[in-house]
Amino acid sequence: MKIYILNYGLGNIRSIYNAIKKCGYDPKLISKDKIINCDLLIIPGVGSFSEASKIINKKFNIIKKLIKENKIFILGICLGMQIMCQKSNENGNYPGLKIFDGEIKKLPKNISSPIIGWKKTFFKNLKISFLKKYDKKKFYHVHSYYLSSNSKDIKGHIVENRLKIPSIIYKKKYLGLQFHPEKSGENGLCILKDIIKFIKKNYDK
Amino acid sequence: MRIIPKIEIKNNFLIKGINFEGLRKLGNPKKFIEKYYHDGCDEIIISDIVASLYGRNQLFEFIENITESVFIPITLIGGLRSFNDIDNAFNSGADKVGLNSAIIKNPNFLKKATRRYGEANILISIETKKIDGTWKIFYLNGREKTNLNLKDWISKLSDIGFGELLINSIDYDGTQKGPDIDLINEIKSLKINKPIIYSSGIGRYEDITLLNKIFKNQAISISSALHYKKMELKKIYKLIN
Repeated sequence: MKIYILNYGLGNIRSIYNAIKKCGYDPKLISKDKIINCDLLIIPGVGSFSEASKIINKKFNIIKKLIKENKIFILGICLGMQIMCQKSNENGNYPGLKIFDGEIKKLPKNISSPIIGWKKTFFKNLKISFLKKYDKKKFYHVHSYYLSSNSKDIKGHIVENRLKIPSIIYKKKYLGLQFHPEKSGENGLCILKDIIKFIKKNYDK
Repeated sequence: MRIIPKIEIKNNFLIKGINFEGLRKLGNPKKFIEKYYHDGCDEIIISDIVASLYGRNQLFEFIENITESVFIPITLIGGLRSFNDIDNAFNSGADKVGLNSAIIKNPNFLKKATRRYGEANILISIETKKIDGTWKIFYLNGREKTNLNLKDWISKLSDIGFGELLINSIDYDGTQKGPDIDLINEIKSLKINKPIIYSSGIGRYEDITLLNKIFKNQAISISSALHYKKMELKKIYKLIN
């Protein structure tokens, strides 16, 4: 099981690296635009959509190619999830990787922004049914922009001021988590382990 | 209510003072952090209390080491004054960074930082003390006074943007005599539409019950009462859940 973590200069790289290690795997950091031969690519992210969009579009053409070829499983975390969507208006208009429908927008005025803290997360019926056991468990969220979309790919959410904010998006070989599993204590480590196990079982080359 | 232990570090030791002075060495900070993690705290704030003073950051390696065994959010505060510093903080495993001295000298740095790193991951640390009826802003752990007052400073910061506020009362820091209610009332009157972490003076379980009432849905940071085992995180969570 080869796991790569995209090191594009924006992200809590060390946290996700340590969490994957703790799960019993040996991830590699990649910071160059070269052929990525792995089973799972993780796109982490702490930063602004505009910066991420600029860097990925300028420096990592390989990722778009991989998506076109539908070759590897990609897990996006926080900003990494957001960048998998169509576009965002954070600091202007910037394109994402366009895997999922929907735009990344500033949280509506009636929601205290940023959303910070451990939030009860609701998991819908997922094809990856093992994730169902995490329904209503708490995961750590920190974000001031959110995915605005009615897409059927949205498989989980949190509730803030009665509004559902998407937390999980999934289709085919693409999974996006708005929360930080690498920062969500034991539950976070368990969900990472389960995701990797799922990929290993279904997609390992 | 989020409960966030605050770990202040000088020369590799966990230290704690009273009113930011008279620092005492309390031991190996890693041991304290791991205990708080296993006791279920929400997050950890790690503060390098001499970084700004000496103009250098020494905790990146420490954070790297901590995040091998602690999987909750870590905010690093102290002496972060360039993109390079912030990159190093995130690369070593911190999830949020706290700014104070750097933006007092150069508020434009906050603007640049929020554009690059997003607002949500930037915390502003505020040290304040009431002088002749006005809440004045300090930096360098209460050593240096500015001409800024709390209300104008927060309004200026809000115009630029940030993630959350950490509010320290210099007069109450390390005293365990209870929270600075005067300051909390002032903060509430400012109607800040951001998450706020109140720090300073929390030393008894009744302080938690009180803050959970008057400061609901916000966060509190505790240091000496936890370090000296005057309070237990598990009991604190029982009170607020």
